Amino acid sequence: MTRSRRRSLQRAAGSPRPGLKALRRRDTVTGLLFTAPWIIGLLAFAVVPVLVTLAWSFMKVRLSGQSEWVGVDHFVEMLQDRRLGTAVVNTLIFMGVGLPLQLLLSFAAALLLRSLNRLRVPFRAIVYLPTVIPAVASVYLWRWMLDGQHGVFNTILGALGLPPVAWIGEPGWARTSIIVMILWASGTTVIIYLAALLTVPRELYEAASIDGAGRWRTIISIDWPSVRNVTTFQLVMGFIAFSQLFAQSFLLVQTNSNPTAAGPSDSLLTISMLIYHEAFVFSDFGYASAVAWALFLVTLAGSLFIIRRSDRTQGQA
Amino acid sequence: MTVRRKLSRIVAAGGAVAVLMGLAACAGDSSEDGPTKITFSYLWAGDEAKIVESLIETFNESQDDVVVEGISNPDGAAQLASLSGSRAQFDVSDHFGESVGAWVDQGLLADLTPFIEADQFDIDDFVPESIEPLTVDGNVYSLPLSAYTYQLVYNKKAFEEAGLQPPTTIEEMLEAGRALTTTENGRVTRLGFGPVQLKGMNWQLGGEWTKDGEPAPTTDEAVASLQLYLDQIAGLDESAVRSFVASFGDYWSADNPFFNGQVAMVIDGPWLISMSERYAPDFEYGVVEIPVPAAKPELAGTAPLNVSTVFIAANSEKKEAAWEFVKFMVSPEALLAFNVPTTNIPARSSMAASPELAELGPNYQAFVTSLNEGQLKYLPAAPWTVEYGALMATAQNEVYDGTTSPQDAVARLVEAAKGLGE
Repeated sequence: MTRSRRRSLQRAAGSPRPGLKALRRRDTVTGLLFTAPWIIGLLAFAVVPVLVTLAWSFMKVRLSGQSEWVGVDHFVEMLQDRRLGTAVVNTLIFMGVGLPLQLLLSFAAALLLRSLNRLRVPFRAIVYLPTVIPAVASVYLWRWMLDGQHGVFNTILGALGLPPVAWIGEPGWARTSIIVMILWASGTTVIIYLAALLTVPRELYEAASIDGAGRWRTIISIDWPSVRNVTTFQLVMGFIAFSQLFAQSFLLVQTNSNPTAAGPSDSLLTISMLIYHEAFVFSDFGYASAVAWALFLVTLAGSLFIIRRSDRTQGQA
Repeated sequence: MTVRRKLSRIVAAGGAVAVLMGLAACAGDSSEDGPTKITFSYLWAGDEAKIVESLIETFNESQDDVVVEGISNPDGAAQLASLSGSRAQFDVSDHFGESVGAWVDQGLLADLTPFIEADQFDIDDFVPESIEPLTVDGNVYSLPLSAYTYQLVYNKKAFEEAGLQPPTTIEEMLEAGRALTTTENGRVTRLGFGPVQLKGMNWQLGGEWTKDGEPAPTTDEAVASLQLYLDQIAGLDESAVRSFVASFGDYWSADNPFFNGQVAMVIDGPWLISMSERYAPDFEYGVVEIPVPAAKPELAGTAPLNVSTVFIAANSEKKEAAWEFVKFMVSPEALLAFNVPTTNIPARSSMAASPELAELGPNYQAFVTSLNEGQLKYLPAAPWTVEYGALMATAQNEVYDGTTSPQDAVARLVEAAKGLGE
């Protein structure tokens, strides 16, 4: 290669030609044009509304536009709101009972699925099936099954000579029904656990077997620790999902005549449901926004706490 | 031409088409040379929607200035979202009177007073109590399509078998309730009356929910209202009673506990008549005034009132045309066409004696008489009206679920009510 040819190549590599620069600019413009609908949608339907609700949480909102600042009044009001207290307690009950159950049962189901060699695929589909049914359709299905008079559960109880149960009529049973509905639709959690379990190195089980570990010891000492990262992920996702619990409890007791129906003794009133009532039934958008932001901050703090705690535990291990 | 350039042109052309479509949509609303087109978005569906569509058709055929397009959209949240936009997605809609105060506070409803005055519209023909819950600071924001008073409806066969007459006092109602409540092997098989609504019963006992226009419940009557149901079921296993109540079927069905004999008397509205025709055509029942305490005969005729309304959206740009349609919807002809099939009550006093209403029978007439001659009770139009009603419902549910006493529930309600007025 001649010296002049080498120089010319170095120049080309170090400083782009004017044509290349224009091409890159055109690429950027084309890319922006293609992504513009999504970016505009994100800004219009997510970013801007979120920022608006932040402002609204400090305002007495009038939808006609004549809103006024009220400072932290809504946040002070939250401390005295008995209904919000009920919603927080209910949400914590659902989370405290439902989330551990969901994780343990999903893990157990994943272990079972893993042990089914040939039948794994059809059973995996069966477990996942409820997840693909839209929430509204599945809740209405449950509503029919839990019906006090014609529901399939009470029909079975009647056939066995047992008294009917007020599945949606008594606080304890109503909450139980919600948790059962959530567990029924935990297919995603099961599948993620199953995927994680299938990646555990076979050598670990062989070593355990040589050491004389039984089935239970293997689960405790190999399976469960091996999916710890997945459990942290499931815990965070479950924590967020239970914090925002709405569709199941709202649809199970929704009636035309009572827009604030929340089950017996408000036993199904969750924080998200209360936000909906405040905004769309009581037209108090300012207070609803304040509760929504409080929920967001608590959920964020809780999620970070779970992740940090998990990191620390893993570090110690 | 490079592929990239072609794509850029396609994107640009797509954007241009979108802009043109938007402009075309705007131009479509223009009505310089033809009738003004307005939209009536209503919450009804099913048979009621058919009646509304037929009324819209009648209106459109009756004149050439305004064309109404009807949209059935039984979604309250969507209705509220549309009302809060800068530009109306509908011009006229309907709702219940209880929402008027909050929506006026939000600036969502057009003030109808200037139209009423300019047109010399005879608002005095409406029962005054049906207009007052729609009025804020002397201005009217909605007009009533139907007014609902509540009455005591009783199962004739159950009363005859027990040798009872319909009650005329609260004491008689409690006595009849106990006599008609039946059990079998410890299980409740029928209640005289179901869980009593706190809001209405407080008025029946002479109580009030407001003082000087602000939320302030009278405590003695509110406690007595909640105690009434508890007194009826005293001595029964409370959990058995709750299980029985929880087994009640859907209200809008043949499983309605009144139709299937699980409850012998209910406090309900006139729509129960058309419901019974649909779901329980052979069921025999009677309608009487809701009883009042024997010691307070001056309360006779007291009845809770609710109103179904039609209004113009504040963000409508065609309020004049919308007013023409609202006027039609509350005209005697339209009110008859809407209320007779649904057995609701037109709120115009001049229609009380109309033969079409008389044909609906004595049970229906009891509701008409109550509307026109009774002592009607309602919450005023205020920003807190709906929330106050929800607080009352919570208090009553807590008592009937056995989680608190009537005294404690009412004490908490009094405290919560103070917060509403602030």
